[in-house]
Amino acid sequence: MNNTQFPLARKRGLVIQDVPNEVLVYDLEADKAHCLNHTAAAVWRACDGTRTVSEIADYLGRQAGKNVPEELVWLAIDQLNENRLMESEAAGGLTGTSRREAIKKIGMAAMIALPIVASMAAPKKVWANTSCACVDASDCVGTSCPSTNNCNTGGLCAP
Amino acid sequence: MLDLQQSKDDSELGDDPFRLELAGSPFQFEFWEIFESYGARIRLAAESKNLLENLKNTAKSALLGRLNFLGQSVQSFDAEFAAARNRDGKYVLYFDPSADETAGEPESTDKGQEAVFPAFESEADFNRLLNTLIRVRVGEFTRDWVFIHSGVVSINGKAILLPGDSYSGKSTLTAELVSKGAEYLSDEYAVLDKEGKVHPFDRDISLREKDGFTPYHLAPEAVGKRYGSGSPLEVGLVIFTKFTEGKLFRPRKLSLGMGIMKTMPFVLSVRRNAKFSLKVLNTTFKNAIILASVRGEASLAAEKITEIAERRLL
Repeated sequence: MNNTQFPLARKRGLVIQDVPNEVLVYDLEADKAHCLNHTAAAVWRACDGTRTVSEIADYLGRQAGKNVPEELVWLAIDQLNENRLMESEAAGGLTGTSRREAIKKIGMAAMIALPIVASMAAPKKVWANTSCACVDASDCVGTSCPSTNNCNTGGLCAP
Repeated sequence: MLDLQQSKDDSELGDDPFRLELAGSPFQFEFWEIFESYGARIRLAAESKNLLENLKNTAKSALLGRLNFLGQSVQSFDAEFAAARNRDGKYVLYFDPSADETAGEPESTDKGQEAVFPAFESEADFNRLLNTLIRVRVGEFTRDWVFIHSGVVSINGKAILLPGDSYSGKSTLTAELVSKGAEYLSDEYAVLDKEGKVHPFDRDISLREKDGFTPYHLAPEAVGKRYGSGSPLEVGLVIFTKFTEGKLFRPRKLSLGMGIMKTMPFVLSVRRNAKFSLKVLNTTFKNAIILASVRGEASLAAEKITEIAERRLL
C-alpha cells in the first residue's frame, strides 16, 4: 500500500444527487449511474487532494467517533478508481488477494459498513432497449428482445 | 450500414426542401411539420404530402393525441424523422436527434444516435416502428417531464411502477394486476411531472401472441379499469422484476439510492438531462417502497404484488 499520495475525487462531468445514507452519481462522459453507500461516499468526499490515505482514515474516524482502518479507505478508493470517480487513479491500493485480506481484516474490526460502489450503464441506444427497434444486429446485443443477434427485415431484434 | 449524406444547413431549414441521400438514393423532403409534445419539438418530413399525412397520423396515435402542430413559422426542433419511398416502393425512415443546433446540446458527450432504418416492405411494419420511435424520441427530448420505460398501475390511490426493458414481461404483469383490481395507467411509460407525480399514458395494453413477438392490443376495460384522467399520483411501490421461467417472486427491499440507480437505464432523458432526471426520481421515489425479484408466472406475481400493495399502501 502506498501512503504518500493525496487522492483527489473527480468532480468534472458528474451529476451528484444526495439521498439519505447514499450518494448517486451520474457520469456524463461514460453514461453510467453509480450508487455510493454512506462509507464510500464519505471516503469520496474526503478525497480533496490535501490528505493522505492515513489522514483520510483519521479524519473519517474522528467524524464517526469510531476506528476507521486505512484498509477501508483503500477499499473505497479501489472501487472509486475502477468506476473512474477519482481525478487520477491512486496507485498502490488493494489488489487481488490483498483486497480479500483487507475485507477480512476490516470485517473483524469494523464498526462501520464496508464501502460499496454499485454501477449501471445507461443503454447506448435508448430506442433499441425500449422498443427492440434496430438498424443492424449490433443494436440487439445486450437487450431483452426476442433476438440479441438478429435484426429482421421489419427493423426488430427478432428472428 | 447505409450511406448517409446530409445537406441541411440553416439556409435549408424552413420553406426550402432539404435533401438526404439514403442508401445511395437521393431524396428531397419538400413537406414537413413540427409538433410539440411534453415540451419536445419533433419535425416530421416527407417527400410527398400523403406520406407526411401518414407521419402526422402516426404521431397523433403514438402520443394519444397529446401533441400540437406548430405551423410553418416555427423552425427550431429537437429531433426529426424523415420518411420516403424508394424506387421499389419500400419505406425508408431516417431519424436524427441533433439536426437543429439551436435546440441545445445534450449534457452527455454521446450524441450519436442518428439512424437510417432499412427499407420496409410493409406499411404496417413501417407505421408500427415509427409509432414506437416517436414516443421514444419525445421521451428523450422532453424538457419538464421524465419518461420511465415502465408499466404503471394504481392501488389505494398510489402508483406502482414496474420499470423494465422491452420483452421483460411488463405488459403481461400490468394486465394481470389490472385483472386483479388495480387501475391501469400505462404498460409502457411512467410519465413523471416536475413534482415527481405520475400521469397516465394509457394506450391499450400491448401483448404478444404465444410465438413471443406477434403483437396484439387489449383494451384495459377488457380485464379491468383505467385510472382515467384523475389527478396525478404519488408513487407508493416500485418493483423491478423480469420473467424467468419457473422462478418464484420473492421480493427483497432496495435502498432509495439503489432503486434510483436501477431505474436510470429506463429513463429516456437520462443522457440529455441527467440532472433534472435524478432530481425528479429522488422526489418520486423518496416515499416509495422499492422491491426487486425475478418472477415466474405473471398471475402469481400479480397476486403477491396486490397483497403487498393492499397491506402497505394505505
